[in-house]
Amino acid sequence: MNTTATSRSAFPGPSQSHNQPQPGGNGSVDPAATNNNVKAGAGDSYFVDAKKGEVNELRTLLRTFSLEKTLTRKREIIKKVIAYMTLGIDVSRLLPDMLLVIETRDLVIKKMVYLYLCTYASTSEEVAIMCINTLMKDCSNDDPMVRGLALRSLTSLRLKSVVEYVMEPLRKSLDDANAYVRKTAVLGVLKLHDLSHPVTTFLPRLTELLDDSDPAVVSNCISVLNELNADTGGMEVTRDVMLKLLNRLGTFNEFGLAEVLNLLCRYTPTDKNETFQIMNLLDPVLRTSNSGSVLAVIKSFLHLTNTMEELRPMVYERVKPPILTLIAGGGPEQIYVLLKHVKYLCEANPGMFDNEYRQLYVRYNEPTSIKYLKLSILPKLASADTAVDIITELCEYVSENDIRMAKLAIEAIAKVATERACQGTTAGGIGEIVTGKLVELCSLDGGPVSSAAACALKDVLRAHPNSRFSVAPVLGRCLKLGGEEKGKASLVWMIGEFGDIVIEAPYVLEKLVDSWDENEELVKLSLLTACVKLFFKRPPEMQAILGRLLTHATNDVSSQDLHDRALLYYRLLKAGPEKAEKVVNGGEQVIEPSKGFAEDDEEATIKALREEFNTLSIVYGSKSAHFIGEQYRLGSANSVAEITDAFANTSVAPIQPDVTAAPTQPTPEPPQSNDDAYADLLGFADSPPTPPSASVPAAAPQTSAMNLNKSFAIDGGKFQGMWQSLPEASSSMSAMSKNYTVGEIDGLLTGVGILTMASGEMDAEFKFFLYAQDVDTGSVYLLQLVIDKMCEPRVCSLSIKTDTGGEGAEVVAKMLGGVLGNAGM
Amino acid sequence: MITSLFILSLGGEVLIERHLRPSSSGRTAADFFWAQCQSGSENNVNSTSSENYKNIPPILQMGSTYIISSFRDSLIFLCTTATEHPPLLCIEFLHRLASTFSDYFGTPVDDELIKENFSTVYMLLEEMNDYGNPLTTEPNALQSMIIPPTVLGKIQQVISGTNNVKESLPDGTVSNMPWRRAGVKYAQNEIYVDLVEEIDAIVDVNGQVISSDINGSIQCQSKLSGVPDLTLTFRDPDVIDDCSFHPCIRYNRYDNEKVISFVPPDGNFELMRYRVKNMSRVITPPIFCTPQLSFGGEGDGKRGEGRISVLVGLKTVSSLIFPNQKGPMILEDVVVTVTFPRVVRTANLTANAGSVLYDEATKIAKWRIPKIGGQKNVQLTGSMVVKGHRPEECPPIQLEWKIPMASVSGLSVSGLSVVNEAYKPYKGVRTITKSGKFTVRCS
Repeated sequence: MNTTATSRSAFPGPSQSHNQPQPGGNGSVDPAATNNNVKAGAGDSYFVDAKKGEVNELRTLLRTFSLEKTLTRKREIIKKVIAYMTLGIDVSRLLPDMLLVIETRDLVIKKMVYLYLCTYASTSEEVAIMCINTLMKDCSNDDPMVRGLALRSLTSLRLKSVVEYVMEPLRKSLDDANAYVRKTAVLGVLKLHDLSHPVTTFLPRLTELLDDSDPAVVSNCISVLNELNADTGGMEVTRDVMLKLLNRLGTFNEFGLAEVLNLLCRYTPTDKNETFQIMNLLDPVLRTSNSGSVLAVIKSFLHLTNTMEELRPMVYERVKPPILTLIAGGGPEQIYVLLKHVKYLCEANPGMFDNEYRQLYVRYNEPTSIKYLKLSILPKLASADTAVDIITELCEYVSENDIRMAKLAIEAIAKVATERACQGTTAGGIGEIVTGKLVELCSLDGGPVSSAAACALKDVLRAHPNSRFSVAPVLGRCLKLGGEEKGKASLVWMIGEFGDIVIEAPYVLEKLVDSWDENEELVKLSLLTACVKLFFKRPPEMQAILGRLLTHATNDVSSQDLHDRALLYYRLLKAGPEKAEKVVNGGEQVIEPSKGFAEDDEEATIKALREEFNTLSIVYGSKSAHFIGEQYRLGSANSVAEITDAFANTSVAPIQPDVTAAPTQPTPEPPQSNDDAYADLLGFADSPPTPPSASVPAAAPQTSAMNLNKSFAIDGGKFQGMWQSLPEASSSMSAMSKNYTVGEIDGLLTGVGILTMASGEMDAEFKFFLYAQDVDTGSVYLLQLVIDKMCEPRVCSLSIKTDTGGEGAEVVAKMLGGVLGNAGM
Repeated sequence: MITSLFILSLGGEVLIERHLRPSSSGRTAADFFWAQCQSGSENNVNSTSSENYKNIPPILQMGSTYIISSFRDSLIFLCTTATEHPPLLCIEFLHRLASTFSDYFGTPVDDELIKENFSTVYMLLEEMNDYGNPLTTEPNALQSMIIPPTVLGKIQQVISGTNNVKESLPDGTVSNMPWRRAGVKYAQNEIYVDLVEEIDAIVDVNGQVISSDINGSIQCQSKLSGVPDLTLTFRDPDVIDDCSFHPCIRYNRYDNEKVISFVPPDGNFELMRYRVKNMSRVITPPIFCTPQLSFGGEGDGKRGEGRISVLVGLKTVSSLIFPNQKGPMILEDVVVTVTFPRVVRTANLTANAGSVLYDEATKIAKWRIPKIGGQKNVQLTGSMVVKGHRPEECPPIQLEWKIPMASVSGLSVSGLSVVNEAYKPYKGVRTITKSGKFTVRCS
């Protein structure tokens, strides 16, 4: 470049000398500067520290502006002003001088002055009004680019006082012959609206522009109309408009495409035929390279098949390859968001990505945000066939340098074991493998990894109680290694829980009791429960220890909870060991293979999120109502209604005292931003490993019997239909006091008016489908009762569906419990 | 829609900020993001604090504002939104911004280049986004509005005295084809098509492939005058499982006839990406790497010492297919990156081929071998000084390599024809296979 310049200068001519870069001076930071110039460091002059008085110098320079003969020199002056502005130096004082400069034919200078004006107009309203004339004049310039630029600047001034002047040019620009001006004008309407200026006069024209020949004008129009009508949930979607837009789908760019598809999500086709036609039209768009558009198509598919459950499997099948292609080729940011969607889809449609589990293995040099996310997805992909592979891979990550990664990997290993697909008799081996690995990690060194393994082990054992025999022998040794608070607490809890097979249990606990003050709070709490439980199992060995413990604990002023719980146990024991045992060991902790942990059950959230696919909601795994500011919500009226509905439903859902974990409703607070990837994993494992049975059953709820219609009848088909459509109103688990046969249960229930639709006995369980009708209100309750035969005492789980809400269901549940003599029902 | 845009340097300096909506929260978002970058290090001992921006989740919450970040080359792109705007659209927009900058200023775009060209940057931002809505995003359309500062353009400017903004709005793009510039003229008409296939793999210490994945892309460079209509046909299109297309491709013709029919944009672009069928079968990569690390124990009196040996070579039997093989297969541009465990104090490394660079601060050794043929394996050997016991962790080795004229899928171009224009362009088609994320475990 320099050589060109030198050789050129041998032939001085007016045009050359004007445009030639000034070596090292202020000439070469022209936007057209080449890399060569950059290397010469010529451009640095703009970003040197501003010294006092430099703004004044600029003003002097600006006053010489009209004297400057060459365009380049003129541009340099303005560019200096802009450079100062971007550095955050206040150059607003130059406004009057800048206004003089605006009368130019040069586009570059115009652009720069416009930029300046938009930045500073608000600081000096009076002066800014002076420039309106020029801008308005430019709005009718011959050059469409100037018209567009002037209009954009005019509408960007954000000054209420000038709004009146803007109306006329804006109206004209909406009819402009050039698409560039029209698409600028469309956005201008929105800018006026946001200055709370009425724009209703433009609405008819905007609606017309939905038919514009230029797709960019149309897509801008859609987004503006959506925002103008935000109160009613966006622009009105008619069949006419929708079909027109869909027919020219191919002409939109990726961002416009997304706009149209979002609109489609508010449109309901008239019949099935139309739905299929639209879906066929959208199908090719799945091949777009823009991930945002592809997900918008998927969202449309989910929306269109909302009422056609039978088509949904096909939709999932169809959308899987494009997602995988995008993940394979995307940048880390895209991968992150796409994986969030994969995670959601795995929950909504279990098994969808199971075969791709190897693609989700963690790569060493990936960002940790993606690594952690993958760890939360991998367990969901585990099936009886792949679980061993996945566990082996997860174990690789445990040895990673990153402690958090190691902990998450351990949690993921535990999750594999508690995953629905990996439970039950067919996959019994997985529980053993996982326990084996965890025991190995647990007895490692007493570091954070061991502690995490101990916490995980506790969860796994609740799902795979048979593995306790391989765990019991090492518990004492692991506890001696020490470790983090949570880990130790988990170990203590397990020792108490499996005290009958941990031979050295009393001695291990005794040591802790005698060094009471050295323990952390969580450990103390666990110790309390563990000792009480162990007392019921091995009273002679424990009696003395328990006595000492209760003295310690009731005298401990460090924790109110501890103090109260110790007192509770003390009083229970005083009431009689048998009664105390019944309370403390009341519920079973075994996780039903079909149910998983209660907090993992997010049926309602999954359903709700389907409508919010491809938004931040998926990223946060929570409905937008929980984290998006109200004024910013994509205010679709029905979604708000849904949210209130969802709350109404969850709030009446009974919280059973013996259900081990938190109720199933989604957490109302948004997860902390940087924890979002692990929010799910932290769920249970983070809460203190307080044995659920230790909590006191809440005061027995009011039992008001219901008068059930004993002659009520319902046929199989109707039952099935209602079963699928009704919301679940109550679900609970409890232990049964007697081991009835199918016939006995049938008889007992018919006696109170709970009638049997179907019943059956399987290898591991009895299953009943029941129904009942309230004579007084006429409301119908459908019940499913599953009794696990394998447990001792038997555990029954009951779910009730009705459309009248949870209270009635509660009463029915209570009646059923009363008849069967269940504890805690 | 987007409320604010920021471009940050890797040092956290705000280079460009643009508030698109009155509801923008100002510079707080950028400050918040940077504070997160600074504080995120305690959990991750692997990364130094300067690299934390890589590990920050791409979407951050700050009150009711969401900060979406994207990291490219050596710049951080941030945008904020307060609505449920599809986050992927924001990310795609940021990526488009980044790739536009590299088109204009050359790669890699760094803070210096942005500072040099700040006025072009602002002009681009102005055209690409108005009031939070993406406006003109096609590179070709932008180029016809704002001339990129190329060397050629600069010379042209000097000679003709024109500036870098077109005096009038160009006819812009060919109608219905926003991606193609109108009035393109070349003296020499050329089109280059590169089939690039990348192998991602995790290989264990015994050479067993644990996970492998292939993704292909077709990169084009088009220098064709007028409005040429191209048709690209494959010899075996069935190996493609799924693909994503540049908007210029006619989707329906691919679905019906499995041919790629398109009017190309002008310049460099990615025509398509594809995934290969049958990926459940594990592929055999054309390279092997056997790392051996040993650490002295208490017993052998060599406590505090360690030895490393890495053998790398070409595998003659692999999943690679050579459509038109001439001469022997050669691995090119091989880079072996060894990250040493933290307990390693220092390492002394020698290689029988290529060059090794060991960085004491990061404990990373980069071994570059320009070419590996089939005859000879190359080896890196060395000793380490270890503090304390043998390490618990052993970070995996990263491999980079490429093999020209080879493909994994066997996909090859059988024809490329130009219609709609009279000239006969020069057509160049290449195939290349290279490493994607290729990891070899050491333990």
